[in-house]
Amino acid sequence: MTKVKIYTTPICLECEKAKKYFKENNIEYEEIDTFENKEATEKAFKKAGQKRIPIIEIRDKAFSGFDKKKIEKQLK
Amino acid sequence: MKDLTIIGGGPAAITAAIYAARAKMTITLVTEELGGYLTKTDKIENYPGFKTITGLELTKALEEHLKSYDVEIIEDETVKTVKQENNEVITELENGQILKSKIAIIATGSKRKKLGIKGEQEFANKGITYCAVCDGSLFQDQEVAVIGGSYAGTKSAMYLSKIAKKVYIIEIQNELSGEELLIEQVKKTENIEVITGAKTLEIYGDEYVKGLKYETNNETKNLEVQGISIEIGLIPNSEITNVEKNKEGKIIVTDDMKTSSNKIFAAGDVNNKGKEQIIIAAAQGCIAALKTKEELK
Repeated sequence: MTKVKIYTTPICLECEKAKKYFKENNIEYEEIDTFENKEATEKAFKKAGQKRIPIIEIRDKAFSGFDKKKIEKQLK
Repeated sequence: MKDLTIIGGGPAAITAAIYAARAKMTITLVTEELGGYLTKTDKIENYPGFKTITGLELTKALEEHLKSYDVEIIEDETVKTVKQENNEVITELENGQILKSKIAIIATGSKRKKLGIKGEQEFANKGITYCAVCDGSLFQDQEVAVIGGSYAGTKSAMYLSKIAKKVYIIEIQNELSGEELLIEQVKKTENIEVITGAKTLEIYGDEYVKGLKYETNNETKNLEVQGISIEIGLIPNSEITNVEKNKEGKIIVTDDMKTSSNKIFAAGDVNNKGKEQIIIAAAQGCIAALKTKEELK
């Protein structure tokens, strides 16, 4: 199973949309609260190259924002 | 052909849909996202009935209410144009789909205004945010600046003050504006510093934002910050229609929310009536829906 991580904040519509998409497509994911995991978040945003929530990490790639096409491509 | 097409997904659009559905009109509501600008709002403390509620919570409540009625909802789609042709309204979507209706309500709201200065584009999402509540956690224990000291700016500064080490408000006017209660809170918050009479000139950095330059009393100063929230106001999402607009791009409407095209109405932030407030948008959505029902008789 591909490991998917999503870095979120409590008030974030794109985070909600992404999690809904993962659930609907039976994609297992781990949610990381960015307020409680500062170091992991910093590593993730540096990997994504953007300071924008959500950050989605799939395998060795990370990107910011909810983008279905990027997720599908990375999960292939 | 449906009676009504509603373009938008915020409080004005959803209220219009609820009233129109209860008036037994047939409706299509088309939107990029339900909730619209509301979803980027932290605490709402001035909407009657809720002492405090987040934008996301209110969006969920509005969505649930909307979906309890027989309304066709097209989500995640962008509208390209809305125009009146003879006695019907044609709404064209970016995906090529055409919606025909007897009448339409445009409730597309507004978006954040940009500064248009050096560095703004380069550092977008690299330290610059237009949604402090979404991205605020990335500025924990850092020094940040909020550009704009009106209602939205003071609200963002209050939110960021609980996360960041220090928050600067950079306001071009000589004093803050907006809600007195918020201004009072800002002044009492120890880690907020207000710099008024300051025009932001440039945002600089390397990989990410490192600071900004501003001008005050004919002197240019540097301010080192790692995050910048831009809150200088809103511009209406009105490009989709050619009805009459004012110089700010807001759709000109009558007291009944009617535009210069007699089959097209506009409600909420996108029109020239009233301030950008949730309760005003909802009320205008109601007025527009009730009037469209009369027009169809």
